[in-house]
Amino acid sequence: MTKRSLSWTSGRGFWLTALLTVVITALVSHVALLQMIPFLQTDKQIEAGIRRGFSINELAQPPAPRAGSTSVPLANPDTLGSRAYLDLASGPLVLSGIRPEGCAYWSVSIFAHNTDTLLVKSDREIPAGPFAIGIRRGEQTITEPVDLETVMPSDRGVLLIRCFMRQREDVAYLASLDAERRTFVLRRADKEVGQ
Amino acid sequence: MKLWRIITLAGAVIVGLALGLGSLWALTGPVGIGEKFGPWTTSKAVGERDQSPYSRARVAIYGIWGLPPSEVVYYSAYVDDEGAPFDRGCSYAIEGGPLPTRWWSVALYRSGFYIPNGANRYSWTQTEIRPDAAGRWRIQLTLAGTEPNSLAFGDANGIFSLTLRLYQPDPDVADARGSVPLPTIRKISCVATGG
Repeated sequence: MTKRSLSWTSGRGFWLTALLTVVITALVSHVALLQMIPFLQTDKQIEAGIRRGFSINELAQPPAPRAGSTSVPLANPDTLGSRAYLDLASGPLVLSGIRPEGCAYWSVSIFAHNTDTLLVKSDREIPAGPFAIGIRRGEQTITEPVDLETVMPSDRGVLLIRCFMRQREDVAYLASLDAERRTFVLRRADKEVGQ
Repeated sequence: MKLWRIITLAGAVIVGLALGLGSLWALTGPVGIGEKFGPWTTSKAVGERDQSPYSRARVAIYGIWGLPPSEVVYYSAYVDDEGAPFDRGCSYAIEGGPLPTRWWSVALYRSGFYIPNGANRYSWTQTEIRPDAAGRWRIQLTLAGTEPNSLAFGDANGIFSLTLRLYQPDPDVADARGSVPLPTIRKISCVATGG
């Protein structure tokens, strides 16, 4: 009995190669895109925000949501929110302000580039009055005093401050909420406001 | 190598890509993922850091930056109590009572986004709806959204969905979502919309 070697370019070996090509391509493309989707979606939202006039590391305070005002699917229409697209490449950041008291619910949340929730602190956890939250990479330090620090696994991320409106048609009430959120400042750590 | 073999291998790559990306699309689709309670669907993984890659990708696509269950429990409905998809030619009544949470809201979306309407009304919330003496409340979904406590389907077709959000729900809600007395979604009547 003679032994025949299996060649990938001919006969059954070729068809086995073709089948393996299908399987490996399917697995690699599936897993690769699965891992990339959260990063791509974050980048897509950041780019959409920049097209709307927002800047990196600047706290945006858009008006109450309207149809067409957001690129975020299933966005909450009850939010009078503040938002910043974070990039810690040039150093850590500090968010400071006075916790509002007029919201039906209020929270600060920070999301990693892959959309993981890194921080959520609501008005049940942040006491009334001034607060300061440091945002840094693992190798960065913040020397000024802050109430808590969030360590981000990547330079890019997103900061969201949610204030839910009790009555979105009450103009005076909305003006008071807007005034409360104007106390928030996002700045480079260890720098004074306006520096 | 013969030309037909090269073409076959190229075809194998294309088939592999189709299988890999097609299976990913099927596993990250927005509808029908999670626990079902009548017309409502809820996912425990939103906002959690230890969620599966599929859940993370799904949330990134269809509800990026969702909060974890300690802050919000989300329920979505794409169908009425009879299991029929929402039809903008029909009107619906969403009827419920007190919910075990700090604050709640019900929002209507078309293909994931706010529906333009004259009142800029996209949701109703616990602090805007006036319940009856028994604590029961009712929201209507209608074509124009001009009726009291109503939301508009608007002037275009699409995939309509409701999102019920429970903010800082009672502690047992996150793990026992079927225990929540969820609102009913009842079709009231239908008229021809001409497309």
